[in-house]
Order: sequence, then structure tokens, then C-alpha cells
Amino acid sequence: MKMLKFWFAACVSVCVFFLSGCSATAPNYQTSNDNIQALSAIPGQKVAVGAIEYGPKGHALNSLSIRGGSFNSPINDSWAAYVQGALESELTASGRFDANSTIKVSGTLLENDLDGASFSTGTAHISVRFVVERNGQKVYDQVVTVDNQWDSSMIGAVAIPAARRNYIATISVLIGKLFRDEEFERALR
Amino acid sequence: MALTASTYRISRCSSRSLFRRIALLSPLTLVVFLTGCLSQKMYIDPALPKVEYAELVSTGEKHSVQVFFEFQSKGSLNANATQQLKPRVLADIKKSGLFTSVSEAADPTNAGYKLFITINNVPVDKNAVSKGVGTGLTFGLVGTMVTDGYTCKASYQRPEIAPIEKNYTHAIYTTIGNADGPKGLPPLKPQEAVFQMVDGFTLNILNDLRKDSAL
Repeated sequence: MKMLKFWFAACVSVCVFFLSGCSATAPNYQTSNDNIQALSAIPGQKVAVGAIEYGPKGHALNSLSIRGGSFNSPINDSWAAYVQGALESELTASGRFDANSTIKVSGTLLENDLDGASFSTGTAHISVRFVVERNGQKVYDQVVTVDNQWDSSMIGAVAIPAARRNYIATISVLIGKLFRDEEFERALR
Repeated sequence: MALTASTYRISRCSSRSLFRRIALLSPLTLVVFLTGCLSQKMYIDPALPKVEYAELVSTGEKHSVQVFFEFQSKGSLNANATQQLKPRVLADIKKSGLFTSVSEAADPTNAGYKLFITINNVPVDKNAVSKGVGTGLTFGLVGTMVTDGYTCKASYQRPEIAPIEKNYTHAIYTTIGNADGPKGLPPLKPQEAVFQMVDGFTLNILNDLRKDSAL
């Protein structure tokens, strides 16, 4: 019985070593070369960025964790604000951002999931309703959704950084998908 | 000296049982605490041509340029690595003296001259993690060498001229524990090796654009 307890304790120790995470804050968003080139290909005026609000699920969408450790946004502890900042960064880097433009992109965060628990595959799912207004008139209203997956691992030291990295990459893919939407392109022309 | 309940229980354990527990726990403790101490050395693959700053002599009129740098892992944006390596790439391009100014922000003086550089860390050893764990569990006695592959894609865009595209490949070898590195290559610290890989790509891009009379 004592040996059983000992092995249970040892297994718990090993699991803690291999699986545990701790609280982390995401790095600042970095623009994607593919997104900037896609945006540069769209002719038209400069664009303002409005708020990305929380949808019906509210601030529950803000709570992301990877193997017991929370993963937080560096912007007001809000993933909606992070998506907004990412969009603004891409527009700014491509020379297409103007806070006073009559064309404004805003949005609503509808889904925001990150799962790095699996030993084989990590997944992220983000969905945002983007709206483009021109002189106050809605000219684009579409839900853009991205499901991303990547190789995970039993070892936390491998799986946790991969989940953090790929979640941010998922936001980059989401914005790229918006820029490549023909209706979005027409709304900016 | 008064004995607490726990020390009393321990004192009642047979010495044989206690030693057995210590013997069983010690390797686990060592694995947890010592694996980070295993020596790690990196080696830069010599295949990419070595370019010196002195070779980077402009062949035409100089312009300012907006630089876009992205580091990817397996094809996906790696924001942390991008953030850490972007200053190095910008510094390399500034040091080359091939542009009147170098910035990452959109600037009217850039007048449409843009240089996109994307480095992608691609897997070469599919079982690198399991090899590393094996090395850790043997405290480095069974050494490991893994190869990290890198591809680099560059695009130089100028107003009303078709973009010039360049592609390169590179590799960094890493030994952990008791393993020999590639023969004839000097061992480097991790940051030094990564910087050399980034410098190698950047200087080759600039040199090849210069040879194309684009700079």
C-alpha cells in the first residue's frame, strides 16, 4: 500500500513536470507579410478602425487557458482589444490607416477558443463579425471564422509555447481571411 | 529534543524502506532539476555564401525603404521570434548603407520601396523532441544532434516595376549532451547562431539585389 502511494505521488510529480503551465501574457501582435501584401493589393482610401466589442458570450471569451495556466492579452487584458490592435497594426504597416477616415472597420468577437490540452493536436477557433461603414452606411457585414490546428505534445514545455504561438497566428490568419474576402475588398474600394 | 508526529513516523520507518524511497526519488529529482544544465551547442551550416558588408556597394540611385520582417514556425507567424529578430534585420540593412533610410513604418519618403523578408523555421528532424527527452533522461550521456531548417523568402517592391523575389535555405545544427557536432564547424551560443543565420539571409538578399542592379 505504501509503495502504491509512493508511485501515485511520483506519477503526480512527473505529470506536474510534463503538463503544468503558468500564467502568461501574449507578445505584442506582429504584422504578417502575406496580410500586408494582400491589403496593399486592394486599391482605395485609408481606413479607420472602430472597436471590436464582445458578442453574446461576453467577457467569458476573454478567458483562455493552456494546461492550467491562463493566457492573457497584453492590451487591457482583453482579446477583443487584441484583435482590434492587430487589425490596426496591419493597416498602419501598409500605410492604409487613418483614424479620421470616413471608412471604418469595427467588429464583434463571437467565438474565442484555445485548446492546448491534447497530446497530439492543439486547436484554436476564433470568429468575428466584421462591419465596414462608409459615411455611416453599412457596406460590409460578414462573420469571419478561422479554425486552426497544430502538432501538440505530451511535454508541456513543447505544447504550451506551441499553443501560445499558434493562437496568435490564428488571429493573423483571421485578419488575412478578412483582407482576402472579395466583399471586403469591394467595401474598401 | 521533542519529536514532531511526522519525524516520529519517519524514525519508525525501517532504514531499508527509507533508502529505497530515496533511491527511487533521486533520479526523478535529478531529471527535474538537472536537465536544464545539459550543454547545448549550435553550429551554422556553411552552405549559404558568406557576404561581407564591404561587398555591398550600391550600383544605382539610393532610396529609402520600408522593411517588413516576419519569422514563422512551420509556416505560422511566430510573434515572439519576430519581435526579437526584427531589430537585428533592420540593423543589418541600415549597416549595409544601400538605402538612404530604413524604417518599418509607412513613411511618405519611402515612395513605394518595400522589402519583405520572411524566415520560416521548418522541421528537419521529425522526432527531435523524443531525442531530446532521451538525452535529458540520461543526463546528457546519450547525446543528441538535431537540425533546424530555415527557408527565407524576400520580395523587393519598387513603384511601377515588377517585384524581385529571392529564396534561400539555411540550417542550424544543435547538439545537446554528449554528442559531436558537424566536423569543421565552430560551436556557437544559441543567440549567436540565430543572429548569424539572420545576418546570413539578410546580407545575401542585399547582395543578390545589388547584383540585379536593383540597389
